[in-house]
Amino acid sequence: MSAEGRRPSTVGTIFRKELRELLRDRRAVFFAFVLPLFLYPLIFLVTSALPKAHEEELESKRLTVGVSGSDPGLESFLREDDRLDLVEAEPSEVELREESKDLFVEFESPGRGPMKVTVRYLQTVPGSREAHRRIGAVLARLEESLLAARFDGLGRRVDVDGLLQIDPTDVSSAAERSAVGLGKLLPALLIVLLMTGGAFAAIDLVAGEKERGTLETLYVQSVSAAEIAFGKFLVVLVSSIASVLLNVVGLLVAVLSGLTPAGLGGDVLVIPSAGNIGLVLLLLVPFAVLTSALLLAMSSYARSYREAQTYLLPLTILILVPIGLAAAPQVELSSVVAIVPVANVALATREAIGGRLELLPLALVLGSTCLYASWMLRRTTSLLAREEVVLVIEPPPMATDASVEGRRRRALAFGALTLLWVFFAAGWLQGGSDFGPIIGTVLTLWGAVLAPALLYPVLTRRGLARTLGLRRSTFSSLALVVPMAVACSIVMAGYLRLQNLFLPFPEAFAEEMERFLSVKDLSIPVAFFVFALSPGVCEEMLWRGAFQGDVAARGRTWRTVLIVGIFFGVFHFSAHRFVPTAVVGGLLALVRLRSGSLFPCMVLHTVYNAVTLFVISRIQDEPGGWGRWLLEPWSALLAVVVVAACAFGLRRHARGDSG
Amino acid sequence: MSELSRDEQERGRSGLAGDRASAPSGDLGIATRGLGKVFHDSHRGEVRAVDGVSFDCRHGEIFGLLGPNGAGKTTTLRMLSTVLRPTSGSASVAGHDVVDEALEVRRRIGFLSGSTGLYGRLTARETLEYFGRLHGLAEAALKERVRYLLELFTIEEFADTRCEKLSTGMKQKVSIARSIVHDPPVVIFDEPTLGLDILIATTMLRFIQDCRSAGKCIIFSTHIMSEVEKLCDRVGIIHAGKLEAVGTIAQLRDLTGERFLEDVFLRLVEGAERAT
Repeated sequence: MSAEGRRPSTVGTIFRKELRELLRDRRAVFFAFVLPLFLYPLIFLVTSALPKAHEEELESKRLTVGVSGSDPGLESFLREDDRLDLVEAEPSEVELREESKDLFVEFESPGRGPMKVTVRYLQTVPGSREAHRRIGAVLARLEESLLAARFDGLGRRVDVDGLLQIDPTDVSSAAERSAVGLGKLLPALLIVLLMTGGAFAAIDLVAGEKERGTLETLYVQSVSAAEIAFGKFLVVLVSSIASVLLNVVGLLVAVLSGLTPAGLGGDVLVIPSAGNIGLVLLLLVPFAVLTSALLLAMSSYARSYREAQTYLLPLTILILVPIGLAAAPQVELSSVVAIVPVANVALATREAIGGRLELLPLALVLGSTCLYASWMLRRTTSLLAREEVVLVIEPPPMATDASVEGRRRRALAFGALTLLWVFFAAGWLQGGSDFGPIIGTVLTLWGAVLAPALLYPVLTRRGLARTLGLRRSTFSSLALVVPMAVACSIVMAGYLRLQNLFLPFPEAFAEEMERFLSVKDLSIPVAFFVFALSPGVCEEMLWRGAFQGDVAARGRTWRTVLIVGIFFGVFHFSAHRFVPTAVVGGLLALVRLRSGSLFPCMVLHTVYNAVTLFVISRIQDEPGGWGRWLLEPWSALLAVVVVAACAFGLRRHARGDSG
Repeated sequence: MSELSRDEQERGRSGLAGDRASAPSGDLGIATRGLGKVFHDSHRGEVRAVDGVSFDCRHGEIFGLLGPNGAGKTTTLRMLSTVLRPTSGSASVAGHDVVDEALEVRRRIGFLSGSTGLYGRLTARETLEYFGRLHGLAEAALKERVRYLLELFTIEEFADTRCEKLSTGMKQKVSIARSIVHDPPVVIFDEPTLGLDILIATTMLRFIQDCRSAGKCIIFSTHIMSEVEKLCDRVGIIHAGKLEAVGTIAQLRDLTGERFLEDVFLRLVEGAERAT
């Protein structure tokens, strides 16, 4: 090889061909590149919101403390924290484990020397841990006040260390601590093993057979589709369960030979009892049915082995989300959680390892999982009876304009690359550089956003005005988008108030936005230029111009609207703003399609931003202001009607144009 | 190979259920009436792959479906073999409707296409046994039938070799044997000689003739004129989903006034294109 060398032009030719072929696999591109764009923000959003809610709940929860050897003076101190219920009781580990008491404090005052305080709690129980935290704070205050009292009485310092001798004792056993560690680790591990163990079989049995041309042969034998589906399903199931069992055996061997994985707090790993292991396996069987059926469905949907493999990762990540949620120590296996698919099995597994799984939750988890599993299995069976699943049907070729389809794919690739580019460029210009937020925003819009919009028509050689849709618009189109923009702004304000109920804007984010925008400090013309006109021109040139021109080359209106909307929503890089920006983006796409020109889009966008920033945000900031009625639900409903009516007007107009 | 007809009747059927084997010669094996299939394509909307196709094929007859690529041959045969569901018209195989009695139809057909694959990690013998069991053959009869087919196609030597290690010719023989392991009265071959060299293609064509001698109803699709001239009792010329003409080669010659089958075909296809 070295004698022949490497010619850069040939490498480039091969690189371009390979890249083109890869990118033409639309499903693979979607699952490998586009889906992660939405998946991770969504996952982080959910996973960060829920444990926090549970933490807050735990913090405000009333906890019971058993106290002994106390006197009224001490007790009044302990009562300072009104979230603690004090009960006169002797220490009992049984009560701690039953969670009827969350903590025990025992006071002993010998005649001389410091007062002995023994705190008994269970590190492995969230409530007990929280009680320990609270009691620690109370005792610290007690010590301080005792100290202050001595100073007051004598006017000089006395032996400080001898006032209180606090002795916190974690009564949990090594087995219990080990169960907590395992409870965090094992559910995710077991479920991932089920998925990977089954995937190997599932992918080969349908997608692989389709590719090798043996599946059709099977379907012309005297067997029913249901028999084929069930036979294949059983293999996936066996393969899943075998994979889990072998891994559990491997794990046991490793632990028995004294090896402990990192991250279990340095504790010795104690193997759960055979009964608890059996319970975990019992839980896994119906769950394995569910995942096996799911994997088989995934494989049926794919047209080739490779395509099925690209689905596996997103599917596994999706399954891991509920598992991650269930891993938070505060989450309990309530009757509601017990019927949430995947999360219920993960939680029940955790409880079973700790030996705390009760009959009712177990029955609920098993029952609901069996229900989901049988439903999924039926879905998969009916999927495998469908002709378009069994055969990779290629309808006979007809006159199609290949260049048009090529343009659409090219535009999608362009959109994805532009998202990445803008993400990094905007991050640097508005945060990493010395420009400051305002100049940074202007540079982002007129540089990072506009550049690809202008570059694309040049690279594709289709002409700037033609690609971007820079053609004369009728006056009525321009006039119609103004009320449309105002109404749209009202609708979105209403929507955001609704969204705030279940997906509140993080405090830090709101402050950041406030500081960043600081519209009130700018003169109106400057603010208008930066936050309304510049986005209205630059973002429209990019998304409704360069991007949409080729995306809309083929396909139905709703599809173009959907694609442009999604890209535009992602472009704002905020989960909280995704829905409103995607909806407005889709609406703008519709305006371009209907009016045939980019200028109405620019007007709509500019007016929308201006109204949102200068009118709606001020009304929201001033309670009791003149325009509160705009924020009433009925205003939003009326605004929806206005938007629809304007869109309808545009449509009629476009017809008039073409006719 | 030439003994197939006699051997088939005497030995091969010994373990099989009665009605499958005893299709009387001359009876209708395949009948289609206005058969049509519309696909929904996300880009192109409705695509009419097969449009109102009607023909019959009797036992002891070879019916050739002749047409260019994309004419609708494969779609038609897939409807006959019940993998695709017709969107209009009807078809019956050995007297059973392909939609309502799909399982009965599949019991009575052997299906082989040029793109058929084999299970690479199974041996030739295991492959034949697997498909025999799927068709419900009893174990003793199955062993005898597999032994017979291995001998017939001279693949005994490679019977226990994994299919992935077999040569193209051997693979094709295993595929043929696989398609008739249950001794079906109707056989459907979709471009069976696709990609085969002349020697293996000849084996395939001889086998088709032997099936006719055994009284089976045979339908096969091709775009190769010489195969049609050599084998077919009757021909259906299909183009753009429509059956343009059906008849014996002599009838088609009379119809078009052309001598060579190529010219007959072109005349019919061009006539159809002018009409549209």
